[in-house]
Amino acid sequence: MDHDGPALRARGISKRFGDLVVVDALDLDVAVSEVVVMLGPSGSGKSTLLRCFNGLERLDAGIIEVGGVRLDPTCDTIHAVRAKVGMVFQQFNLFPHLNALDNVALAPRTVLKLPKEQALNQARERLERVGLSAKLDSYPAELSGGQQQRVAIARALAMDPQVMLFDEPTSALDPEMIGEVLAVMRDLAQSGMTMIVVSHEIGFAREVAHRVIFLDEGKILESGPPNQVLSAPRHPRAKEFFDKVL
Amino acid sequence: MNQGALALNILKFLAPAVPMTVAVTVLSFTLALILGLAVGLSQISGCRPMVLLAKGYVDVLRGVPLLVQIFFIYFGLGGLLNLERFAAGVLAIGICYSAYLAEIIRSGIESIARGQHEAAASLGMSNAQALRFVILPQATRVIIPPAANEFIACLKDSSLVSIIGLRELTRAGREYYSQYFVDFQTWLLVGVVYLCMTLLLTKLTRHLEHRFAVRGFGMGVRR
Repeated sequence: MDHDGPALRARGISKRFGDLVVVDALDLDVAVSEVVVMLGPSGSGKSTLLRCFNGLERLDAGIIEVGGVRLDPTCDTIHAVRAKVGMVFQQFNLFPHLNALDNVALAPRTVLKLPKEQALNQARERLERVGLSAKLDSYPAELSGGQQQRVAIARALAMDPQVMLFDEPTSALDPEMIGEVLAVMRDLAQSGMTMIVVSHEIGFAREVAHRVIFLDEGKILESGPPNQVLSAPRHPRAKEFFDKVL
Repeated sequence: MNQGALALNILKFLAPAVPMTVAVTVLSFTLALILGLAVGLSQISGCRPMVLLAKGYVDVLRGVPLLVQIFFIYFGLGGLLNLERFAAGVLAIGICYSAYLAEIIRSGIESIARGQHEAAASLGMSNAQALRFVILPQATRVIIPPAANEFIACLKDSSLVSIIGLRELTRAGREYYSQYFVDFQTWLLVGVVYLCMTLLLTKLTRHLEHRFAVRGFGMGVRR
């Protein structure tokens, strides 16, 4: 990365749906190679906040910078900035008409204009990284949920993102498949990828996160190392939440 | 004349008119596809004037009988624009069918889950790239069966241009009848020729559906 600041910087960002304030004048810096896990009750604005970070939601106020470049959904540069922010969705959102290899190679070919062979080689390499070398020709409908989510991670990685966003990546999975996806995410974290993860996997947060954020009503109520936030939350709302889920 | 010879005689009389039916159908449906795609995309463009224009286009054309549209274009506009029968017929059917196809294309695109748009956008694709590489390839599979219905309907509706004097299949049937006063066999055979053509089209569209099928996904599983 060619700048010294944080990988992602949010300043005073707000998002409303009608009268409902979902993200409330929030500031956040995420350092390069930092792994941040965001927790909070449903409706606390976690997913919406994450979607603001790649411009899928338009901000009502505030600014977001990725690698020092302003993310502005009203501007043509949005596509270039988004290409640098990988996103993994709860429902995978693989392209059902393409096999695993083409799912991963499509954006590098169309957005980065890589030559076909180079894009396919790179896609093979990314799929190998998530342990799916044997499934290159499989279509999404022929893959298990865990395999689909790993293809989705490989697809995001193919764009060489500076930041990876995970929106409840294991919430739609059968319990026996959660482990394989978390393992891939753990490897990714260890390789130095900057990651922002919305998840209910407390174990993952405790083990992998550098920082855990507790969010409620669009505000950050707690932010700190996993042990501190999970074991000794200071804010009563956070305490109440962790008493229920831990 | 025995029945076999009569049938042969009628078919020989009808045969030269078949290319005109095919030409009117293929050309007007091609026009309808192009206009329909443009109008269908306008409807979901998010640009308010374009949306309103496209919706108005669809509402008006769907709400007026095709026969009236043919009369209007041939007799009404044809005089002003100096349109020949053939051009007027193709134009009238093409424009009318484009309204139905626009709706089919619009609903086909809208049937693709929002997550697909978001996944494409999150990878840095522009709207046009997402449409071309992600949305349309999937929408095509949804669009083909109803569009094939329209193609078959279009073939049958091409008989309406017989009224403005284009010598296609139905017109040829009328001419045979008025020369030889054989009604039952004439119209039976005209019907049979149409049926042969529509059955051929049905086969063709099944083939298309198969071609666009994706393994383990949606209709027509191909292994």
